[in-house]
Amino acid sequence: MLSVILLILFPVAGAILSMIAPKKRLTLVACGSVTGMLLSLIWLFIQKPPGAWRVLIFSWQWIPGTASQGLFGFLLDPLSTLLLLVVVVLGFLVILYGTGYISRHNREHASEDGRERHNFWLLLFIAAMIGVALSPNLLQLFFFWEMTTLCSWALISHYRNAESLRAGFKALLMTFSGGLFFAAGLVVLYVHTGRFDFDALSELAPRLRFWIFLFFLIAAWAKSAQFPFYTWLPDAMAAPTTVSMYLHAAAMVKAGVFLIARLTFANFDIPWLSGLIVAILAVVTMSLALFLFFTQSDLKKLLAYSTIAHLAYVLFGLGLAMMGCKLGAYAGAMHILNHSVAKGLLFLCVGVLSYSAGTRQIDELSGVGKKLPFLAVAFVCGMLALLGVPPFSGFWSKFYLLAATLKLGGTAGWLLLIPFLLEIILGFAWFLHIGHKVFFGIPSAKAADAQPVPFSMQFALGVLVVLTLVVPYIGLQLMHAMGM
Amino acid sequence: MPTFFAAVAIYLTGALITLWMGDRRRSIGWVAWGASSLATVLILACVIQVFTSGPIIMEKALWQVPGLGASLLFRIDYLSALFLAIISIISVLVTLYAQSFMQIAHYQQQSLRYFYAVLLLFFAAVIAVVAISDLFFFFIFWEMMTLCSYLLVIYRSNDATRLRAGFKYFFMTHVATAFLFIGGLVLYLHSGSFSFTALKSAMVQMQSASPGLLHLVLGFFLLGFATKAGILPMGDWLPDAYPAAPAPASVSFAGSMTKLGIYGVIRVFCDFLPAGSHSQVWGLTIACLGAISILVGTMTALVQEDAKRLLSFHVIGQMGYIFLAIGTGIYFLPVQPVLAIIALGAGIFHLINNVCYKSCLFFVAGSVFYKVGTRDINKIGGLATILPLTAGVAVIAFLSIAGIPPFSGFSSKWLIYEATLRGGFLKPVFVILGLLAIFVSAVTLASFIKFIGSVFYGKYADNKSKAKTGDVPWSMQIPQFVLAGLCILFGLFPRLPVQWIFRALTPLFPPGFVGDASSVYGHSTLAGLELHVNDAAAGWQALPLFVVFVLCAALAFYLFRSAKVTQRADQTWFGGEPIKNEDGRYRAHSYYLPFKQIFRIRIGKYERPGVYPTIRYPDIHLKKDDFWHRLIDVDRWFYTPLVNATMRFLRFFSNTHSGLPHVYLLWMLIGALLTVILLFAFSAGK
Repeated sequence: MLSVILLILFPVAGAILSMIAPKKRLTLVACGSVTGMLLSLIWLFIQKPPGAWRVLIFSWQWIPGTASQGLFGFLLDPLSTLLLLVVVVLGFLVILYGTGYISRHNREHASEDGRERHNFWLLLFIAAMIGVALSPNLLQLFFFWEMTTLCSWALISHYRNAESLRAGFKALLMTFSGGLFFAAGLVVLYVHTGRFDFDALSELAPRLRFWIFLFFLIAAWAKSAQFPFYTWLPDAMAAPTTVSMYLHAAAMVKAGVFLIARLTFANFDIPWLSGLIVAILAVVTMSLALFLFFTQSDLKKLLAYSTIAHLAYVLFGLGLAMMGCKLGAYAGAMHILNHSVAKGLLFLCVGVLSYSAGTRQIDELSGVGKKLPFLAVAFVCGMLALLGVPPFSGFWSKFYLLAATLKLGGTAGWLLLIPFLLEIILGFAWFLHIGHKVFFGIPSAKAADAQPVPFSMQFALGVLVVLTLVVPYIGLQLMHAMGM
Repeated sequence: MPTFFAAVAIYLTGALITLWMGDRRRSIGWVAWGASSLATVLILACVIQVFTSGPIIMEKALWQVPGLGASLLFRIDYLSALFLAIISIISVLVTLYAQSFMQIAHYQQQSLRYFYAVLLLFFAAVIAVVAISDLFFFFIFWEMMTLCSYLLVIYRSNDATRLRAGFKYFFMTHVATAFLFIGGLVLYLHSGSFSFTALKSAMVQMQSASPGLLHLVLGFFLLGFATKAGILPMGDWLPDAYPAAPAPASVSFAGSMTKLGIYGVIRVFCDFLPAGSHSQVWGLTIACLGAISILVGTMTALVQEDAKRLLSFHVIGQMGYIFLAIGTGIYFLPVQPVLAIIALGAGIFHLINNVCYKSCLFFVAGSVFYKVGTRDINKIGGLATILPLTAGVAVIAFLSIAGIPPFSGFSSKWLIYEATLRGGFLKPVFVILGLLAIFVSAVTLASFIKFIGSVFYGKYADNKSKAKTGDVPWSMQIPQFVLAGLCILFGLFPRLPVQWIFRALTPLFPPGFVGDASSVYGHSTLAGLELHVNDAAAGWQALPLFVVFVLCAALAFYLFRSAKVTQRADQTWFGGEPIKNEDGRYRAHSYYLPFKQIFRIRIGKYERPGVYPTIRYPDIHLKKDDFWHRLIDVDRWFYTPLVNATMRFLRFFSNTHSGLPHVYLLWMLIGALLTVILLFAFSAGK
């Protein structure tokens, strides 16, 4: 109980303190609050009664008369643990990394202005994401969901130039419009069932269930930047790398797929057709993102498109589950964790490139590994994790996804398998090509001129490299606890 | 089993220690060598245990993967033990050789700890692949092996050709592994478990229930394994990747990794697949693929001028021999088990010999590179004067690979010819394949005459006269000697390895399946022909024949001496022209010119010698503004127009705020009227 309160309180307090504390103490405040947060998470897991994997830690019935138990509360189960791990551990690392990244020495954005703003919104965002992860029902999830949207808007516009302001507004507009569908779905759900619980969906009549689920899907697609709402994410790369990594690869975009995962796990009787829609759109998104890979000259945008594709993987798995192969849901959920770590690592590597070499243009970079060998190692590990080379993280979820697709079988299964496989193979080729281009070969002028990187950033990379090897086992255990 | 785990742990610890050691360029190699020799001792202990007291089986899985019927379960049976022995010996030799080799100037800029750590990890992965008895983890270790080998290929990572080779290699094998995964998953869905025993029964069941799907699965498996084995056309990566890697790494690929493709084929097609119509279809396919590789690989090797590239094409050719033998074996499993077992045994025997002489030749190529710093065999010549021992070793390996009796290559090739030609009585197509193999054996000889002739004999190339005299260091000599010694040993006493091979092969099949396995080389009859006239050892009597050879040679020598001919050593006469050493040299390029002129690919302006079409991956240039990009740019045709339209509409609406009081009054009036009308409309009749 106390640990959960502390878990949310630490980042919130950190956020407020960042605004009022003197600038000199900013690093201390940020690091202190995230360390506190990490410790509270550990405490929470120690405290958790062994074996019990679905505990409602706290509940408050703030609307009298609703049928939902614990309208406001904290639900700790394997799925929320999955997201919680992503949010807290990566949040810790990203704040740490940010203390080094947002500095005068940064070659791409040599400015320390707005560090307090950055920390404020980022810490607030962490708190909001913890709320999303721990929400026991849709209503509370919605509140925190919109909070993350707001933080995202502020953080994308961090540099306050025309490009980032426009990108922030675009992201806000699109995710918020998606959020409206979420709200509408919630209202109809409440009117018909009187509950906000995740499993309330199964009480609806099949036809209505399909439509309401579609509303939630639209919200999730917008939040997770899926086709046809994917366009805001590449533009959002105008944000600082910390934000791109945390919001637009690891945490916020995961909220959308997390919502669908929640709904899928709570109602395995979601209509087959919606499963097919989810899976087909996921495949479409993947192919689209893949197609857009080839023209990207900006490393960060390339990663953004890859994020879009990988969120589609998650939805692909969930779609398979709705079509009748439960394994897909576990695979998809696992991919949330595996992808976050891999993509987080890659984004931070690109951040190091911006910091150290002052550019993230693929054409201007080659042979970076000569000057920054640790960066090359980190990037290659992240890349292998992303591409699914065992024993790195991405392999496990990809393998389970493949297994689920084949297990589903039938015409749908085999037809979905082909584009999925094609995406995996071509994505592999392209990323390998980019990795070779940027990190190996003869150093380009900018790469030869790269400056050393602060310890805090190297530390974050190092931890993430280890995590790419470790997280799949955590993910597997969590999914096992969920009944896989 | 603990011995085996200790060996794996030693490899891993060795990798960690080398990683930690940093830039101590001398001692780091000894650590790696120490680790691998310690591990080898343990592995050999395991192998001996298997052959003396039966397979080592693990009762309890180390780890059960949730939600997937996969468990980390090891089992060392006879076949695994055979491969373990090969791999472990290669690992010792390679690390010993790397000792001095990696000190050369070429790799001075590179980090040695990277090399050794990856190399040891590679060996750990390879022995795990061989000893695992669960397909899921088999794939995992398989991919780890691929990853490590890729890292070795791109070891000198500032070199564009190496990067391209590494990319091609990793990409092709990754695609192949994807097919392996799909095949494995389809099998898993039929068996519910990835364990080898479950897959075996799943194949039995699928053979009758869904033969079509089984064909698909087998095709996927073959694709995956043949790619790794370097069988054409899937093995196109091999001639690029082998030369790119440092010599010790090339040896470990040739000596262990590509051979695992064969291991996979034997596992799946002999162990899992029950003998039946499926084995016939795929056996013939494998044999034909092998024959294609023999022909194309070796013919292409004939025109190569890069020492390691030449050897790489021979890897393809020799893998073709093994595939031919194994394919023949698989084909005859359901109809003529005795012949099948001879063919399979021949394949594995050839594999072992191939490991010996091919590794030896790669070592030789490495030694030449060590000495003169180039792999272009046009630029070197007459090295026998400065590398006498290496030259001797090279000749032994060359005679062995070319199949000259009494060296080991002949023993195994003889068995292959025997199996294919005798098989031809039952299925005539095998006669053609067998004759092809015999013909290409001559091509191999020709190719190595070129290699040996231009590298070691002939005139000493001027431009490299700066090279230090004296042979390569002993740490590079020993591995070469060991392998050359094995070439002679297995040539003179083929029975030695063959009896172990048959002991490894027969347990793959149900008891009694092979007939009297001990009498394979006894008096069995086959298609009306007596298989062997007497109880000869492994196909032919090597030792007596060798004695005859020696006696003949002695006789010839005696005659020569007794004739008392006077000998006169002289320079080549160039018609009195004063010709520099370099101009009078017969270069590698000049060999087989007519052949090159006949066999060349000519498509329009594109022209290249040889029969091997090298695939050049096109550079992709995508324009950002083509039709498809405009089509999927939802922003462009949907969101931006939508937002613009909304803004226009709102702007239009804001025109109502004119600021004039009477206009506002008009709006109020219209509003009131509308309200009244609506009220009437909705409350009509009430």
